[in-house]
Formats: sequence, structure tokens, C-alpha cells
Amino acid sequence: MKKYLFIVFFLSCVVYSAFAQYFKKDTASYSAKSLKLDEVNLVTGYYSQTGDHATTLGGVGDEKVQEISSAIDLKFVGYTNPNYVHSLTAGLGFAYHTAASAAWISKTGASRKEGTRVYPSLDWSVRNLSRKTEYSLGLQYSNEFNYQSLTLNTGYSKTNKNNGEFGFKLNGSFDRVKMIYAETMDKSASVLSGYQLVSASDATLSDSPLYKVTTAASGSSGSSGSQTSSSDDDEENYSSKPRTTLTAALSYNQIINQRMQVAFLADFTGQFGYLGLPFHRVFMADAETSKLETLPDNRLKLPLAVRLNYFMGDRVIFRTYYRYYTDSWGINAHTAYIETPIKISPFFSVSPFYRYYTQTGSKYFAPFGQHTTSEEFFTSNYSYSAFTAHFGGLGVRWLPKEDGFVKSVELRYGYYKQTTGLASNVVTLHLKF
Amino acid sequence: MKKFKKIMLFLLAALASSSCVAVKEYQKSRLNDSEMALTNRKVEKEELNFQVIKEGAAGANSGKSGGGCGCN
Repeated sequence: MKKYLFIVFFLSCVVYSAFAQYFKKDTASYSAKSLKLDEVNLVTGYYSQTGDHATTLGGVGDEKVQEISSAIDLKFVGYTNPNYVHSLTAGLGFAYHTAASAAWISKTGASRKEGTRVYPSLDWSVRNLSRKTEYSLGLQYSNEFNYQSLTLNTGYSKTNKNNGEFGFKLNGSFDRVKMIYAETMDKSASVLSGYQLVSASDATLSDSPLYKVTTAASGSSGSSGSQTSSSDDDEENYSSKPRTTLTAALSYNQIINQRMQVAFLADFTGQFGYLGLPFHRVFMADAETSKLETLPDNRLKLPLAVRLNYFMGDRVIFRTYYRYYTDSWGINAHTAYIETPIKISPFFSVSPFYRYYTQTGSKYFAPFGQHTTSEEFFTSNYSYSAFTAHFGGLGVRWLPKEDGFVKSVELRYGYYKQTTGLASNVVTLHLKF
Repeated sequence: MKKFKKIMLFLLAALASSSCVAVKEYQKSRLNDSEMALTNRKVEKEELNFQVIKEGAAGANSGKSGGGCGCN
């Protein structure tokens, strides 16, 4: 962990030293035709999670996760003629995590708990100032031990005479899931012995856990073992399966008056291919040994959202958001969000925020030991269960002098709690140079 | 039918917003404040990432609506 903290710190120092002199010189206007570095963003985050519904153990067991991530992007801006503004953004992100549940891909708890993810990206857009249109193209890649994702997107937007902007975006993610299977585990396995079944009719997910931990087992032993259940650590031995996600996103932004603007958003998403994970176990009521999570090979999603921002007086902003969501797996969800940045001074603001989220459960979800072998599809992944979540926190934002090296500093902390018992803390720092 | 009604309400709200006050460029000082932006801010990136993984719903927030592992 210390090693990765050091890497994040080192990267931050490199960015600072690399661009310190550059920014001092870059005081010219954007009249230059060639691309020039316009801004650099560095986002560093820390995420910590606890819970006791690990999907690797069929919906029971330690869900502890810690992740540290850091991403940098460089935005270049230039003009090919006075009407065309080109933007090119190159990004690179890195994340390191430990997950207690990953240890139980093997039935002995000896699998590796750590993992890393690297995610470069490249985005280009051109804005026609006279026609008030914009075209964009983007390419993102993400790589971790068992998962690769390549995303392509293209977009178009046009601003009308009435201060409205219509946007259309197509997005395709072409992923590969490495088939690292969880070892078959018996219900009587020692790691599960601490969980005692409470009659499903006597308990609901929202007010009490179905399973009580009496002697929580730890998955920490043998952390130097391999990621997989196999003794052979050779990656080439694993096959992979595709997962494709296609999204058509529509948006319409409208200025209502000098203080208020609103956005309407709609995504039409289809997912196809292998949509489960091969190391997610499911324990059945009528079988002693675990099965692997089995889900349909397609999923259609329809989220509809509205965002409304209002500037009250000279110091207070209301940022609000509501989303309705439905999908073909039976999940219906509502999300409501409010954030109120308060400008203590023109250069410093504090932003308390609160987010409420609730969803119905998927028809394919059931807790530990409640599915039966006659079912075609089954999962004990609690992200598909019925629950409510609360997320609240505080952000602070500081704008140093305009001609300084750092353009803005934002720090944000949030605490998240689900009625499933999952809780997490997240801290994010955004530096803009 | 319920879903259809919700979609219709959404579209009606969108149409209703087209009757707005004309705002000139020089009157947009508040609207152009970075905290008034109608998108997620970069500082929200980390939390949006875990919400996509830990919740069943995703999308319509200028973020991911699928793709990625979320393995843990």
C-alpha cells in the first residue's frame, strides 16, 4: 500500500515540476492556431468500504475494499480558423485496490486480494463558433488482471437561438471478461459456518440481515497466493468472454433565465454477452455445493434524468438532480440529489450535499441459500437486491489567484450507507493547473 | 402504462422549458459559474464510479452506463 501511495505522490510531483515553467510562460491568448496546453487536471481518490454480503461467497462474508486511484488529463486547445475550436484531451489513470472477498475465489481463501487497473483515454472535439455546433470522438481503455475494456464514443451537439442545446452521443464498450472460476465450495465450508439462516419470512433485507455473523471468518490467510484457484499462475490458461455495452444518450440543456438552467437526459443502453462474473458463487436451497452466478446474456436499461441548477442571490447555488431508472431485469430505481455550494468569498466555497437512492430488486436476485436448482438465472449479488442508500458529505473549493500555477483546488468527502449494511467513505482531491 | 406516463411527463417537462426568458451573453455571469455546470464535476468521479458498481441503476448522468468490471 505504501508503495502505491508513494507512486501517487511521485506522479503529482512530476506533474508539478513538468508544467511549472510552462504555465508561467503560457499567458498568451488563444489566438494561436496550433494546439496549446490549456489545462491539466489531477484527480486523486481514496475509497474504503465495509459490508458482509460478498458475492464471491454467495452473498455472505467480508466485503471490505480499499482503493486508491489517481488520474491525470492534459487538455490542449487550438484554432484551425477563427471559427473552429479544437480540443484534445489525453488522460491516464491508475488504481490500486485490496478486496477481502477476492481471497475466496479459491475455497481456501488463498487467492490474491490485490489488484491494479490502468486506464488511458484520448478525446477530441471541434466546436464551430458560427454554427454553434460541436462534434466529438473519444477512445478509452481499461485494463486489469481479469478484465479489459475498450470504449469508443462519438457525439454531436447544437445550440439554438433560444439558449437551448441539444446533444446526441453514441457510446460502445467492448469488454473481455477473463474466465477465472471460483472453486466449488460446500455450504459447510468453514468460512460460511458463522452464518446462520434466519427464516426468510421473518426477515427483510431492509431492516435486518438474513444472516447473523457469529464467528466471522477471515480471508486474509495466504495473501501471497495466486489470483486464481489454480496453482498455475499462467494467464494464458484462461479463456475470456465478450461483454458489449451500447448506449445512445440524448440531452437537452436550456437556460431558463439569468439564474436558472435545466438539463434533460435520457440514455438507451443495451448490454450483451457475458453479464455475470465467473467467481460469483450462488448457494442453493436444494444443493450442498455452490453454483456459479448465471444471468441472461442481454440487459436493456432506460434511465431518464433532469438536472436543475439555480443561483440564489450572490452566494448560494442549488444543484439538483433526479433520475428514474428501469431495466429488463426488473430493477426500478429513483435517485435524488441536492448540493448547495455556498460562496464564502469569490475564491472560496463550501458545498454540503446529500443523495438519496432507492431500488427494487432484480427478479434474478435471492440471498444465500434461497435460490433453487430449477431456476434458469440466479445471483446473490446485493447490487441487484432491493435497498435504499443515503450518501452525504461536504466539499470545499478554493480558487487561487488567476495568474497562479494552480487554477483551482477541490476536496470532497462523502459517507455512503446502504440498508444492506454496506458502508463506505470516499475522499477525492481535484487539482486544476 | 405507468412507465409510459412517466416518459410522457418527462417529455412534457422538456417542452415546457422551451418558454424561457431571453438571456444575452453579458447576462450569463452567474450561469457561467463553474458550480452551475449542468454536468458532473471531476471531483465527483470517484463516487460515481462506486455507485455504478454497488447499485443496480446507472446512466443519464454524463457518466458510465455500463462497461467496466466492478469485480469487487
